[in-house]
Amino acid sequence: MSVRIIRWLRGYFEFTVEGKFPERFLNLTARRGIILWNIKGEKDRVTACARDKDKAAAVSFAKKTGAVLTVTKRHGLPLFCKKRRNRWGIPAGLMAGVIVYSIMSAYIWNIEIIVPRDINSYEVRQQLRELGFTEGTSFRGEEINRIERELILRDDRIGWVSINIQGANATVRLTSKKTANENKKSSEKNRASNMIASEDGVITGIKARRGTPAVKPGTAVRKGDLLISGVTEYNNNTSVFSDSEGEVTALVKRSYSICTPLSISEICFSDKETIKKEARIFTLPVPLSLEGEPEEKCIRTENNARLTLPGGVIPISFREIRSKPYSTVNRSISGKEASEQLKKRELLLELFISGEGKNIIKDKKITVTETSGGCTLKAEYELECDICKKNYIELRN
Amino acid sequence: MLLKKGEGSSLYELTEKVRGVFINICGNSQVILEGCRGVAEYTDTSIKLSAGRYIIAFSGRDLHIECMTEYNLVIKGFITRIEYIY
Repeated sequence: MSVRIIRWLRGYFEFTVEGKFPERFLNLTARRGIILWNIKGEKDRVTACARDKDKAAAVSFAKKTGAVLTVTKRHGLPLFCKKRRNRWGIPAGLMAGVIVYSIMSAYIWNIEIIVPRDINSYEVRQQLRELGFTEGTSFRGEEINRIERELILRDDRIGWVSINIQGANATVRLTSKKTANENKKSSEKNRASNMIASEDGVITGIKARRGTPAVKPGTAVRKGDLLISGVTEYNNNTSVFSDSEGEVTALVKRSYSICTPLSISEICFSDKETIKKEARIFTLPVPLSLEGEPEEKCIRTENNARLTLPGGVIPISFREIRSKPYSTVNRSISGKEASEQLKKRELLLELFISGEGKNIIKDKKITVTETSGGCTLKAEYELECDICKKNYIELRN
Repeated sequence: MLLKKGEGSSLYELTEKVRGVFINICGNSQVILEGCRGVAEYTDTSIKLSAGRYIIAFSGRDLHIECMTEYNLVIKGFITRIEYIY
């Protein structure tokens, strides 16, 4: 392959030698150091390829041997350049492309934000924009450190920020304070803990995976009572502290009340939806639609799309803003309608209480009362659920 | 022939000294020759190469010279017979 590339770069030609003894031509050229390839022989005729610079010598050898050399085709870079010598725009364009590329690569054209679940990337992008860190700007070294510090100070939820710049791409990686604390907790190994009751109830079952059970089934416990102890005592008067783990199920009573007023406010969306499209070349916005944003209250949804290549970014992005106007309408409902709404909400409540099947509803009592202001639903549930709560023990030397 | 110390360091030198041709045959589709003196006959069914005192003849189908320099040569095609003619 590399030989083919070198031949193409140097330039070569295909030729035919016709005569009585074309073999003589082959021998003569070979002896004079002319390299021939793809030699195909027929009767009184040979076709082959040779370098461009050997053309004159090959013609003279053909004459010497009484054969006729005909160039059938030329290949290679010299011919390519010769054919396009009047097209000065191509090298000029190439040159301009290289200059533009080298200037543009000094700026950031793509900002990727990696955030944990509890932080919105859009908010982070807005904050970065306020700090001046946007597409089309150039930031290096100490300025980056300043932006990292300011971003942490601006948002209480952010625990750690790192901005990495690779060429024209910037990656902003965030960790929330909550996650940072959780990581700190998980790193603290060998901590001692007890399992205590999170609410009042009657114990129905105990599964102690680590630690000593402190209650038995049938025992009534109050909130904060010890269920599984993290301290294990042995007969030789020694005790071992461990991080207790387990499940203690108990029958508990929970009561909820839901109210529905007889006059409610509803949001009504209008059918008219405006879609504003916009392209952004580098930092220059180019409108793609004539639609404007409505003046009344509306819900806005924004979609951003960016052109990317594997391993690179094109500084062209598309934005679509959908605005849907809405109005708030106050209306009064009848007592029957209100109680129906309450029943639907009660079903949702039941689903929430069951905790994806973890808690078993043993019994429930529902009462609906209607007053002049609205309807109230009172629901009392008897549940079988895990009431364990971890309580860490502070160990002091 | 005995070679003196330092002689025959390159393959060409060696072929010159021993007055012969080194033939490298890859199956029946490719032959690499080093040290041949020229082409005596060349068609797509027969290639005869001069090797000094004798001629090496290759017979077959679709025979062609892939590349040729002063002393080296690569023949490709479907080779059916190799013959030494004195």
